[in-house]
Amino acid sequence: MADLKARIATRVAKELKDGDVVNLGIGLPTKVANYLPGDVHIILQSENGIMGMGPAAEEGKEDVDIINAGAQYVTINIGAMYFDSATSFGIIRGGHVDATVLGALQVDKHGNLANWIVPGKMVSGMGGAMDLVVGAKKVIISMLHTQKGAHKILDECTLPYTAIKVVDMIVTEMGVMEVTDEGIVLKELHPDFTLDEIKEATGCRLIISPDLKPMED
Amino acid sequence: MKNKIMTAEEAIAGIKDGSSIMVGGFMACGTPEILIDALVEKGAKDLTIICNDAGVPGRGVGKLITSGQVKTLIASHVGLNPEVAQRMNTEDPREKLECILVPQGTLAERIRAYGAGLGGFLTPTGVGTIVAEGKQVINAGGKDYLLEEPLKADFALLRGSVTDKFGNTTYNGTTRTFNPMMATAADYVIVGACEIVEIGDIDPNNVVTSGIFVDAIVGGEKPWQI
Repeated sequence: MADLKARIATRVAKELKDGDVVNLGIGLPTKVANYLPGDVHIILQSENGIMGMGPAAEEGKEDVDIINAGAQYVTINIGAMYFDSATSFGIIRGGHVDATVLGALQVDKHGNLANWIVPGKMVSGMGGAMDLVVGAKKVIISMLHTQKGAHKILDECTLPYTAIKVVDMIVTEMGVMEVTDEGIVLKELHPDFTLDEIKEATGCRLIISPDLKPMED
Repeated sequence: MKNKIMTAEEAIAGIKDGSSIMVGGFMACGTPEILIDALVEKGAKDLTIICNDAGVPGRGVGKLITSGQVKTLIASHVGLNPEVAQRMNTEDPREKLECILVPQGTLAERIRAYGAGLGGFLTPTGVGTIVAEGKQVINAGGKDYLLEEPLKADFALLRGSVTDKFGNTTYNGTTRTFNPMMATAADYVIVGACEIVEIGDIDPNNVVTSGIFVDAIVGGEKPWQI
């Protein structure tokens, strides 16, 4: 499991360009920062008020006044800035974040996203996710392809939406997909899987790109 | 000049059963714990609390959830405090908590809007989701937006890193979050300050919240471990 997540994070990292302003969600997306190519330096935005967030704080060296949006103690990089939440979400909604990477419960062929609530289960709240996916220039979903075999990539989401028509790209352990007006296009397939296997694991029709490439680890 | 420095007990004296209170901070980072403690001590009930989140049990707004003083919580995220779900689902009406979830950017902007004298604003966030239920959708420039209304409160409990005796306040690190907007959107604003200094000691370039917004200053705050 751990190496599947590393595979996904490694592939997402390749989508980020030097100088990009990026907001990474909690969990798997946070790991993307560890897999950036050496010549790519991104500027991490944290919605609780940091532009230029650094790595997690070393144990014993934490400044308890500096956390990330997941309430972990972090550091900041040289050139960083702090701001209030209204400014932070102005940056987010205003289209000044180049990419956001988030997990999903469900994504559908229209690019609709459901990742904040399961009716009947414990409510946690949307936090900043609804603003992020609406505002960021590029929305990349990083997730395992299925939920223990249950489809997560669907014709239509069945869970309540986080936002409609916002997802640009989906990266899973099986492949890399782009959401287009025609539907979900498979651009890369991981050599561990066959086309039939990824089609079976997907709850909507996959359009196979004419220049389908292998997904690299 | 009016003395604004007082004890926590004096500062919160006006809070009554049913009061609405904005609480600054994000996962309790930037929340004035000594003001929360005084409020728990006072025991005012049926409060409406407006805060980014529910803190964690034993920290920030979490203490007010545990003490059963909150009737309505308006927040963007409550997932790190399991007690919220428990109290939302309880059958006991005295324990029952109503939780209104608002997207984080919308919550921040609604508070800012009230303080800035705006009647509302149009946001693309939440269009096509359950957040849009009961709200007006306005098409502007070919794009759909939700009309979101301003949000105010009777009181604001804020955490300042350095506050001068007029109330001019700075916020260190990520303690700023909702504090500056809340300072402008409540009838009575209390700053729990980590350090109180003389007027003029803070470089005017670094003041984030003007003392004009601050009614009461309580010393003895500190950066707390979450």
